[in-house]
Amino acid sequence: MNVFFVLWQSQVIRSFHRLSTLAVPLAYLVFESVFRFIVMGGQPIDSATRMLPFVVGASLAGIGVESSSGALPLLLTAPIRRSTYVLSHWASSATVASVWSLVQLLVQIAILAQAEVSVLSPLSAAAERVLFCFGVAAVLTCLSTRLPGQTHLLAFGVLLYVGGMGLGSTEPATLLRSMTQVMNDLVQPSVEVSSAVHSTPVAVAPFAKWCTQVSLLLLAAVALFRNREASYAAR
Amino acid sequence: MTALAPASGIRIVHVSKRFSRKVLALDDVSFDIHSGEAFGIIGPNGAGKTTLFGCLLGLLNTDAGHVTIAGVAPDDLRVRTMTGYVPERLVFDPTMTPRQALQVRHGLLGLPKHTRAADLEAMLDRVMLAPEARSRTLRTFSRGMLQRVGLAHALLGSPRYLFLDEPTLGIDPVGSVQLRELLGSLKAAGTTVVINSHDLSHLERVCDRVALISAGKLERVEILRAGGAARRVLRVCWARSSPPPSVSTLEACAQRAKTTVTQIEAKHASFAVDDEAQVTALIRVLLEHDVQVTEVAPDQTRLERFFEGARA
Repeated sequence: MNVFFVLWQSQVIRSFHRLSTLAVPLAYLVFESVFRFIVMGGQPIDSATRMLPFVVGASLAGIGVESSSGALPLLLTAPIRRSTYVLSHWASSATVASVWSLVQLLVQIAILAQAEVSVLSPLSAAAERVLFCFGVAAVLTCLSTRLPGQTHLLAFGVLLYVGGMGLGSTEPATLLRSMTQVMNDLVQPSVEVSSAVHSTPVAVAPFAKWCTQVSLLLLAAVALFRNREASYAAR
Repeated sequence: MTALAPASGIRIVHVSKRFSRKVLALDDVSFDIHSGEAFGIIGPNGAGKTTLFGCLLGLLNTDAGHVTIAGVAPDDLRVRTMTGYVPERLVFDPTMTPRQALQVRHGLLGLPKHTRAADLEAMLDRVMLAPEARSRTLRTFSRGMLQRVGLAHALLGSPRYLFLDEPTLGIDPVGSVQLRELLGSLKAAGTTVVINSHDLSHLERVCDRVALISAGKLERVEILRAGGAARRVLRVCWARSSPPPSVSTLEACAQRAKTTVTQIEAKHASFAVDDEAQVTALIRVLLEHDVQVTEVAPDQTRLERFFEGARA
């Protein structure tokens, strides 16, 4: 547990010190707060899916990047389990993305309160964002265990595009549409917390589905990384 | 967690490694590295040295055979706590300071938090990193300074097994001498040091044995030092204007100085010596025999000759 915490802490701190992982979320935060709310006027709180740039920004320094840069051999000769390394990567990128999305939520709430627009269930919104960040971070971590450099983001983009193809279609359900919707659910594990909490009795299924999805993704990530060769000679 | 045997070496048993159908990087390599010895791995580029190092560190999976360190697999966590590694390409986060880089390693090794600051400073002192450099970010560091940080990183937790991949690459002559002294003290303390390097003169001064790897095969293991003594070869040149000394004179000088003549040429001769006292004695005896000595210099190193001979 101590090793996990040391890795998580160092990765979180580095994420806020490195320009590559700092610039994208910061630029998006400024854009969202200044442009969409101040220039465009008060709007309802964003949905969790709009937090995607924060997760992508936090995942710019994934396992694939550490492998391509040559940092992995030094890290893996330390007394850490490979599973601990993978899980710490997931937890740190999700934590960083969650921090950014919660800061953005606070900014939104402040702007909306000033504009005297009713601020609806900020706690549910916060929980939704955090679950979304941890869910998408699991997908990105899983992809980065095998893909070099930042190609995990490219692969994620392709999956997101394929998943989005079936959405918004008014045609009757087809096999292709169902498949793309499954794909969309898979690459963006999220829970609509407000509707789940406000239903009577409280709907547990969405939370269980999220937990299952994320657990499976992390299990896959650990399994994929377990036998990965990390020497320069293997490249 | 079961404790490991207190004094166990490294065993490489019939290790083969293939990267694709065509590339056989290691072909049935077997040898032992004894506990507490300094062991060098040499060979031409692409011989399989880095692959062997990867297998020794448990970063590469072997296709056949196995590697054991202290009787267990190299990726066993018990071995990892006793292993220090300085890779050829040192990659630290450039935004970190040396202290921060070492702090993470200190935490990963599970060393006591209350001794962290003192441990880090002691380690940075040991690798002689200038105090003013310790608060600077690593992006401003030269290759030689990074090498010192890498060494401090590897030495944290007093490892029993130290793996160095091209440790002299990019370091200045002073750094090279300091590294040699440091490795000497580590060896004296019982640390097993494994060095992969092209710097043959450095290996010759540090290592007890070296293995020559060529085309993925173990060609030979050469013993450089037995019982702590290593022979050096000195080349003695004499004035061109003076008549060359006879073979019998040179042999008599060598016998008196307790050295051995290894080669006699028209303008110079080579002598194998054990220590500095023999060097002093040899020069004195040569001068007494009216040999007009103009230069005494280390001859081509023994390891170079071994390397060239094996390749031939």
